[in-house]
Amino acid sequence: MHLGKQSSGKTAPVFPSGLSAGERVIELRGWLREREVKACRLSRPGLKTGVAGVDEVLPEGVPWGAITEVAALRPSCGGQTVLVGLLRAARVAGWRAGLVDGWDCLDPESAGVEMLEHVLWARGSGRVVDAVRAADLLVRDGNLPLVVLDLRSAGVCELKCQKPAVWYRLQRAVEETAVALVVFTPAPLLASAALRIGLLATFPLEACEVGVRVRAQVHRRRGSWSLKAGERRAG
Amino acid sequence: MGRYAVIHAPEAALQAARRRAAPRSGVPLVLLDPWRRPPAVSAACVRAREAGVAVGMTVPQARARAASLVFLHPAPQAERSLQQDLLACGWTWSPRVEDTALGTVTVDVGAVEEGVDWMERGHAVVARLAGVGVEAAVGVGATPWTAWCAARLAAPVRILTPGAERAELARLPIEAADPDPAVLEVLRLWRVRTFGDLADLSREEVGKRLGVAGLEVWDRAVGGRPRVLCPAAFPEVFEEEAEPGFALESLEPLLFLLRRQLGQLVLRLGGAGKAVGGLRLELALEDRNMQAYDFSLAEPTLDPDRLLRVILARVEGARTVSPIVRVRLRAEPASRDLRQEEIFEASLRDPARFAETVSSLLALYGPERVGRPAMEASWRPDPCRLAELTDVVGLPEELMTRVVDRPILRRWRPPAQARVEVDGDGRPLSVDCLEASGRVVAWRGPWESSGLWWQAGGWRRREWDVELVGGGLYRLACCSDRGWLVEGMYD
Repeated sequence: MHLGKQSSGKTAPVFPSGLSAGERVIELRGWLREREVKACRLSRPGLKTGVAGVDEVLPEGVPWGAITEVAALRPSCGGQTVLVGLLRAARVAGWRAGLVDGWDCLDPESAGVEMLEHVLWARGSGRVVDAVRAADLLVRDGNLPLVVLDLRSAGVCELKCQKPAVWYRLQRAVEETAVALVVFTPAPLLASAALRIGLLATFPLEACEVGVRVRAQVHRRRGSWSLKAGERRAG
Repeated sequence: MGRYAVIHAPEAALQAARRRAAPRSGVPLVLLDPWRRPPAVSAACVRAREAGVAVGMTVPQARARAASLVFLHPAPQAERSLQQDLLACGWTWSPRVEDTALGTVTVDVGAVEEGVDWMERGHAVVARLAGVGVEAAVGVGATPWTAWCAARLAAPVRILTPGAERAELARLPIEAADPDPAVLEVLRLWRVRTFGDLADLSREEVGKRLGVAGLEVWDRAVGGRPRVLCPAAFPEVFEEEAEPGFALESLEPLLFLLRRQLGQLVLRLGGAGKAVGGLRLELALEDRNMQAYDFSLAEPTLDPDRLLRVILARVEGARTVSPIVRVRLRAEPASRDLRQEEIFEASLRDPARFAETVSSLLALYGPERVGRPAMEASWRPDPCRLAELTDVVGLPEELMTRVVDRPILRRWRPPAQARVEVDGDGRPLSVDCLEASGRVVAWRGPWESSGLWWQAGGWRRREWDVELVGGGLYRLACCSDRGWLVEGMYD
């Protein structure tokens, strides 16, 4: 099958002759699947976290087909709140999500287990290499629009010791898909991240009663992502 | 008028033994009868027969005619497996399938609608059986007997035209009617060579001279009589076991066996109108231990290649402490019912690929570390567990608007042992552990809980939420058995 140019300028599938109706349907589904990846990236608005402080600095949401790094720069700065917010947002949108919990820190009771039914939870054993490999598997799978990789308990030195190729490999894998990969780190580390958010302020204890207020700052917004939701700049 | 089909695998015992042993293609094969003294050939393949090997020869006699001859032994398990494959093919046509004999099943296709192209269907079944290593032929006729005769004449499919069956059977040699040896001798003296020769004689006169045995042969020569089939029961367990006879030490031969087993299981499940919903692989090791793997699929499937990829993703990195001597694969039947998805369901784009990915994750982390978050009905601390992934994720309406507005605990597993300084009322003043240390500037609590106090292993604890001077909210717990613990950080 190849793409033919219609008079209107739009592309349409052209099937080889001799295909039965069933085979044409299968071909068409494959064609749509390929197109869907590109279409999702271009037309689907970014994923909002549902956390006020983050959504204010990131009105376009988390980008598709790119790595977003969330650096938790202080203790109790809202990293887990953002993580759970993303998972809930995926649930509300009707998508599945994958969570590679590198150090097995998710507390379903606190996060609300009824909002996590869509989550494939990989409970890590404290090895960065395994966690990255698991994230790579989930990203390449293509069934989960959101993949979250939590590396906050890893030592900064341990993360810095990883070869840059590890993160670029992840970047390449994500770019081929319509998946949003969000990596939580203890410090800004990922050279291949298209978007980097820093979480700055520690909660006071009153936050447990009056509610949280996350303070976030966008540290990096790579050229391909404009402020307009879901739109890519040339180059 | 009835209509019957017979699926026939010639030399079924030899074929079953060949499937089990999987010898090189092209070598002459014979099946030995181990109960005869000395052991003798009980079946021979075409290549062996061409070399001059005949049934009844002893091993030296057979070996003298073909030096490269491979001797196989009967494999009852493999014979049952082959018979199940034939039955499964029969069930794709009709639920009334008789397990007639080893290598032969008879299907009552009288209720199948008119206009069916039996030639096409027969070739499809032959191809399906060839896919699992069985050479078979299909015959269709008005009675079970004529259908069986057609299967024996078939190459590989033969359909006897209703009304013209007697004429078509007339060319068959009289030996094909399986007459009694004494009757056969008399018939030869009468110069009766074919079914047609016998059918030309009067049934009454044959009966007077040869008795009941002669009448039976005459009836067969003119097409047999309708008889009531004894339908076989649908199998409840779909399982394949292979014992290759040598120890498996690498992945390739294991995958070869698994691919064949999957092909057979898929064939049988398809015949029963089901699909594979899950798999269990059991590997018996040489040191008498057993290693088992369970595979759950996101969607029932009948694609053996996809199933093999799911298994491969899990076992390719696995190591066993000793070689594998037996492989057992069990398929869980699942319904293939299709349904329309609900609007808020999060369905998978490619369930088969997802099953492979989950399988790879299980290989990476182990089955106890991959799944869906769930809670146990317990008040004990950290009662979370992993549940099976569900294929459909619906969303209750009341949850659509819920927002994250409270800090969420980031649990440390295991919790950190801490030294905690307390005041006279037992309130924490300072915390000191590897992960968090400092003076407590604010606190909430205590919250007390206990459980299982009526038996050994009971627990009692007091919890505080504390804010430390350098920043950071933590959950402290004073446990009756383990002292002070920092259970995690609110984040």
